[in-house]
Amino acid sequence: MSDLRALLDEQMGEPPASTVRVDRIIGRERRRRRARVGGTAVAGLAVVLAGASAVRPDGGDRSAGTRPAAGPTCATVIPRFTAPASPGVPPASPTTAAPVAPELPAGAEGALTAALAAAAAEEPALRRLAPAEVGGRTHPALRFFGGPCDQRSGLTYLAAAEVRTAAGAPAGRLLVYVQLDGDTGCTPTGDGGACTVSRGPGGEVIRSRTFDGDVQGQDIVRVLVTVEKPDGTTLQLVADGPPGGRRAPLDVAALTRLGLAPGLSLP
Amino acid sequence: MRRADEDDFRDYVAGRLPALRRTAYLFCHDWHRADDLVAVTLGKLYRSWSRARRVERLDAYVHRIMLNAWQDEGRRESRHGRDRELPADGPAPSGPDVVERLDQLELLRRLPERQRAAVVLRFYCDLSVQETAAALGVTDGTVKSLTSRGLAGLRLILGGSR
Repeated sequence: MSDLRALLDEQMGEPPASTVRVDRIIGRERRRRRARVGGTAVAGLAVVLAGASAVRPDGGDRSAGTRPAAGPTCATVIPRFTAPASPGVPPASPTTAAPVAPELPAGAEGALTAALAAAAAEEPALRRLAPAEVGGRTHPALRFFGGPCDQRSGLTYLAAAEVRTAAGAPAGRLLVYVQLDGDTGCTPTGDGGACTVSRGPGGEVIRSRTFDGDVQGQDIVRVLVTVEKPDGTTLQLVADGPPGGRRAPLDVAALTRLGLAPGLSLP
Repeated sequence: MRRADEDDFRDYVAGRLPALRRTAYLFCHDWHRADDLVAVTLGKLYRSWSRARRVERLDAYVHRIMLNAWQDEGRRESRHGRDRELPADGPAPSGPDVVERLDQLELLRRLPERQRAAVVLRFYCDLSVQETAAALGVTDGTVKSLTSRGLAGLRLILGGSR
């Protein structure tokens, strides 16, 4: 049957460049083990959102230039975001351990926030936004701040907003994570709906999936899009509908547009 | 995991990654999904590496992990009411032998999943009947039946196109 193998090899031709990165895999498994050992209750998506490998595919440590050599310890934090609150009820606070952010590159939050704001301004569904409560603190809508991280994975930025309808009613929540070489979390064994993979115009790898049902104890619709950029930036965009609602505030196409916005990259 | 064990894991991945990607592609016929499948497989392998590295036929062990991950994904998609898609990947090849070459690809794509898995494991990955049976969770006889029907199907399709 070596003939069959030869034929199949010939038919497959030269494979495209691999997106499999052993550093990411090892980093993810280390985080998984730490979370398990720590007894932390981890929801599937939360694991994905927890961190990013700081080691570049070429073996270089990209974060070395931005992470303080002896800076503050970045605690292992597994965020567990609750769904947006029901109308008339204050938004639920995500249940997380207290995030301890490392020193962040000066100006990065501002540049990221400006880029996201420009992209969000083009989305009709994001006309009305409200501050979001994350980790027990209220953050201005879509303003990036140092988010959950772990010591190995390096930097993670998070922007969040409560989305309102034109009439001011809660329409859901938007979360945007920016990481370096982050886990995409859209693998064949991930939770939820099937993963759709595509390529962006600049060679970005875009993965999307939609959950409809019980997400961490609440019946919501969640749309998740991840964008891996060639420069190593990974964005994870999450749009959660309100509990009991039948749609998320943004669909895959809108989240993808945000993820591909110019300027949403880490230096 | 000890540093030495992790180095062994990295060496294994570096040496086997191209072959693993090709095998994954034969399961799902999409390079993006194949890479995701390989990443999941290697994650599972990493978790059991201290034990797995002592397995006599490590490749067979890894192929079994991969097959399970692929089947898990198929079951998950079924639960969500989706049939597993087999998207075309890249432009169709061209040239004087395009008809025959396309037949080889289409053959595998059109086989039922278990037949396809059996053929790939037996004749592309060189697993024994026993190893293939263990991977598929079936008896040796079932493997022989699956591969026989799979190969027969191949021949029928090929014969019909000529």
